[in-house]
Amino acid sequence: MKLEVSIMKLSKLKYSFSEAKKNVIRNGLMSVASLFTIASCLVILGVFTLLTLNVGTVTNQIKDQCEVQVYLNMGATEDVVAAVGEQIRQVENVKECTLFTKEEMLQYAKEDMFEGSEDLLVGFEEDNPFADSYKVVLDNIENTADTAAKLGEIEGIEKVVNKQDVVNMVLSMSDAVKKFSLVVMFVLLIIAIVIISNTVKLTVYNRRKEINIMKFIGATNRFIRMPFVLEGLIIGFLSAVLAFIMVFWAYFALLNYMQSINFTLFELVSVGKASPIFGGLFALVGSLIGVCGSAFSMKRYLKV
Amino acid sequence: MIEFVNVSKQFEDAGNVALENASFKIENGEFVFLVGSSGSGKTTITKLMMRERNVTEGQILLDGIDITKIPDNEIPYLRRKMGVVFQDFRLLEDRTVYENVEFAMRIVGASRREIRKRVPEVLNEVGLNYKAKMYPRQLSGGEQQRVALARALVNHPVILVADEPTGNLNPEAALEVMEVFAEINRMGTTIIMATHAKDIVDMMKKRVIEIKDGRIIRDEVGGEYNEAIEA
Repeated sequence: MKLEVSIMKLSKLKYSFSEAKKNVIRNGLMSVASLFTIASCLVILGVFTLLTLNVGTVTNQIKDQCEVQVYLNMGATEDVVAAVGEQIRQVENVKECTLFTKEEMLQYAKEDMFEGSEDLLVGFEEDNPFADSYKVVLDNIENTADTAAKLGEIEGIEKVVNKQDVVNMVLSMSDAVKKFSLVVMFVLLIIAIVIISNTVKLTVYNRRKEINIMKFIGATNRFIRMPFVLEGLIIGFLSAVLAFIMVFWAYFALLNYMQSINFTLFELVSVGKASPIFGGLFALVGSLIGVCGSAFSMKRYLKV
Repeated sequence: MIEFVNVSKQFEDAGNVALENASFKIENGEFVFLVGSSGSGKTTITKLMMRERNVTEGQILLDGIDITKIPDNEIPYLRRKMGVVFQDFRLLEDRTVYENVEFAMRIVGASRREIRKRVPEVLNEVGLNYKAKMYPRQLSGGEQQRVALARALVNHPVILVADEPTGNLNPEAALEVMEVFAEINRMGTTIIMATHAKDIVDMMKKRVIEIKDGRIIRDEVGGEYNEAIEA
């Protein structure tokens, strides 16, 4: 008996699937059109996902870099420099501080900033234009402003440069990007559902006579709905595959390009890490809009 | 057995009463004609039996169960107990005779083996086995109606409901189809047929229920189409 039931279910499922396949093919042009439209929606969704993902990691990277640069008065003696360093370490919220002497600064300028035209810096050894400085790493970035103010009060310190403004800007920007992405994703989701629902509606309309007959013969609504839901699912899933291929390829190319131009300001999320995220999202969203879209379009025709 | 107990049906949009206080009982194996002019309420009776519409008042008992009370999701199972045939055949044009009949079995989840056994059997009953591979448009009206009959019968219904089954047929084809109905009835299936066809009703000498303006005005065994309408 149980076996009989499962055979019955299997035959129903097979029927639904073959009908769904037929619908997709019969509706050829419309299916292809909605496939590409939904794939485009998913690509945009993917772009925003990647954007959100990267803004997140870049923000973290900048947060980690949070430090304060402290410049001492010009011509401070070694003793003064050491004493100031000691006082900096006493300030609350200071994790560590590293001395960056004016000689090191000059060296850095020669090697990195004026590479190839070092002659411009000739004579600076005797009259070093740079000041000694400390790189101060903080425990907690939230209190950067307070700490910077306290550091400014120390005698012998000329100037305190903190990156709080940059951090704040990046933080608020990333917040805006995330919110905007969410809105765009939501709108795209609705559009995609409407598109797929229209495609399935067309099939349903073409087959309304069949549906009517099915109702009279005693088909359950679930049985009638199944091929159409599967049709939506097939289109949704194929769109997801297509979108995945496109986004994967584009992102891969972007990362390669960034590498080729030696872009090191911040590091982007790797393809290996990002692709399961947007791939999974596409599969989920694609299937979901397929199923929802067709379910919506069926309602009217099932009332007999 | 199907029994109408004080059934009334009022359509909200039209406002008029389609059926008023109708009561009758049809035993298993009976052959009953529902007669009356257009709009008299005979189609309403068939629709109520199929639960295509529900009653405003009263009960419809099918083997003791009140079908007016069953939930919507059980309606398909009610319909599986009944076969239905329409005036316009309602066949799927893009499928062969065989596939049209097979379709009804697939819907109820029959296995491939059952389908292969039952479809030729029922096509044989309506005398169309040799046309199994043809499409509806290649058949005459009478043949198309016999395909519809085969489809209605394939799942072994207890009751066969027919709404003007000969309405679109010429007299010869109508007789042909009626012969098949009679044969099906002889084999034990209850038949309830709404019709306008006076010749057929007079010839068959079966039970006749006459409806006028939503009321049953005659219920007669071995009756004729009706002197009341002729007058």
